[in-house]
Amino acid sequence: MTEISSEDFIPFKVAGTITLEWLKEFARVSGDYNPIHQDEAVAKAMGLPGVIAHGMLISSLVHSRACEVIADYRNLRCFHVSVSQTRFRAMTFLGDEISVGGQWQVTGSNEIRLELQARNQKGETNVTTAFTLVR
Amino acid sequence: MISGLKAKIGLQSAERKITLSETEMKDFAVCVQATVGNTVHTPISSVAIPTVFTIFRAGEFELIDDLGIQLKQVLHAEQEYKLLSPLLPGEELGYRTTLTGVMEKKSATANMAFLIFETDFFRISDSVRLAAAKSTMVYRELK
Repeated sequence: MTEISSEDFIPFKVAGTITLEWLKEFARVSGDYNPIHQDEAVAKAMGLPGVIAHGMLISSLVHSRACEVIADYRNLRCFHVSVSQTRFRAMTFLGDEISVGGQWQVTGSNEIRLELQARNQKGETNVTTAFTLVR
Repeated sequence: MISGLKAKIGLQSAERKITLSETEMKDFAVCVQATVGNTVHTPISSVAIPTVFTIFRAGEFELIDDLGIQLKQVLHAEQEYKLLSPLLPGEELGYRTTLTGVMEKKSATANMAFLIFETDFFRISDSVRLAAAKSTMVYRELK
């Protein structure tokens, strides 16, 4: 495990490619059956280009990467996530390959900020999350 | 429709109680590739990933329905979680959702309203507050 230093970069890592099966499984485990996440005709009737992924699926992938990264840093054992703030900046579509990465920022001896982004295969940012870690 | 939404600020859902089993927690963790503790990818089995609170959105869905809005007309804009105490599998959880804000916006293709829902989560056994969620949803009326 490594020590954190201010403004460490977290390399982007592929989380997976969005499929209809994945969206159906997320609907099952989350209880969000909004039809724009499963039905092409409904999505288009709502003015969307097609089925879009649940924002909370992409956000969850970002949170998962955060948990993984936090566990990799030795001097973060006494810190925990107190706040996470997510902005859904763009839609994610079937076939999009999602990668997650970002940056640490040490803001004080008792607080650390972690900013992660989810990007698609074109490098476009879909979701950003700012995490506040405290002792 | 949108012009009448501001008058609904303060609308509250019913209080709900639910218990998340370890299986349900693991299923969620596996679906979202959650890991903890080491670099070997294993699902969380003891402590929930923060976004597990997205499972408890029945209060939001109830209020969206009460507002006369169909779920397919809303998109997620922002989500905030304040995490106060860990949620463990098998614990009975209580929560209630309130519509706390409405902001109107117009675009070329739709009239929109940003709806802010706030939910408090607490452990039934001792009333300890576990988390607070703030969801901003966009309701779109296509032109």
